[in-house]
Amino acid sequence: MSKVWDTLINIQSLLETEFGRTGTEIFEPGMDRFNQPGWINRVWTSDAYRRAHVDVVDARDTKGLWMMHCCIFPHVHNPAPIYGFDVVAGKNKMTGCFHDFSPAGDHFHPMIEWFGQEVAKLEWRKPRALPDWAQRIFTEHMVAAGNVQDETELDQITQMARTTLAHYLATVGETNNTVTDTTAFQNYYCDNQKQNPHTPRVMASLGLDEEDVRVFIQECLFPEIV
Amino acid sequence: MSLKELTHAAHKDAETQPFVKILFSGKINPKLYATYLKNQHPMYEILEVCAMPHQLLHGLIDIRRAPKILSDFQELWNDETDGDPQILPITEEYIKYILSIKDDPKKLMAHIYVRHMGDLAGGQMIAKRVPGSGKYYQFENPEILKMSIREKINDEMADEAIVCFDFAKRFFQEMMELVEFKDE
Repeated sequence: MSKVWDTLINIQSLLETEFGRTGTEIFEPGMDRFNQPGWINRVWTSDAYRRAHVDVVDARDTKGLWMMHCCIFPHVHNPAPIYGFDVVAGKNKMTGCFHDFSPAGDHFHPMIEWFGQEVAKLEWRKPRALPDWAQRIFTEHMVAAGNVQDETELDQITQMARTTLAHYLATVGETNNTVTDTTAFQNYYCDNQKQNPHTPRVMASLGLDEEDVRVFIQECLFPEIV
Repeated sequence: MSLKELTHAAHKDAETQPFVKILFSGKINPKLYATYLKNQHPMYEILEVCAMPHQLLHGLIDIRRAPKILSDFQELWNDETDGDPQILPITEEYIKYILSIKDDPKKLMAHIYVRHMGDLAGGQMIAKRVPGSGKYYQFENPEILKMSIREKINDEMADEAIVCFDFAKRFFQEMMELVEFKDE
């Protein structure tokens, strides 16, 4: 029995449930290649947000690892931030957990300020040096945690995921139609995310095909608007 | 006639298999039950994965069972001391079969009806009688999920639902062979 995996699978269920409740599940062309046993990708859209994506690699049985990526992009006439939540975990500890409301048109958006106040409460959150690509897109509030195995910290991460998701979904639509076009900001975010060298490494370590991972990151994980 | 009535005989045939009695007995060997879960996991996983691109799971809150089945298995199985659990021929056959119908959402939905609706009904009684914490049988809101599944099914799915019940019957039969083998 793994408290870590159970916690994370509950967070996955929460995300899927909330996207099912607030949006419509869509099938993006090309995504079927990345729905296979042990690797699922689901995408939703709604009036409030443009694209919510949950990507889970369940390699508990084969590699003793579980990974989830979740990203919510606002509509391009909305300067609200991009929601990002990423986690990689072994049976007994989360090796990495990253969460941010990243700017996509308004660095001083009220949702970013709210996020900063909310995560400031987390005592275990430690500032860490970020590489250039990450500094360009993440806020100073970004939650980055590693080696999480303490039950209290796990509970706090679950609570954080619940609170920030609820707030994001409840408020993201409030600034719809307040700007003309944030496409360049969202593409900038995706372009920089694609420069994260850890993403392909982690996915390959989970046993996924390298070419699949390359295409996936370029076209499905961080798809730029053309 | 409703889908339930149209599939009644096949349903009955599957649920009266001797292995089902063992599941309900409250005395199933934990390793045997773990082997059952280990075989159920890839069958659910392939079905749920194939259903996703057709948006069949949309609106079915907390429908996904595969991750929970794997959690239950891992709770009961120790790789280091227990070795590899046996994967049954019927499991491999079912995976191939689901892949052969992956482009037919109506057929896939018939399998979701048989499997997931079964977990919401008889599964709830099994939950109290099997080893481990039984996440497989825990749903956020079973009544709403049952209603949502019913909205996605129709009588035309009867033939395929019968195919799924037949797979379930043969799965129980192969599981029973493991019981008999262990008793020898």
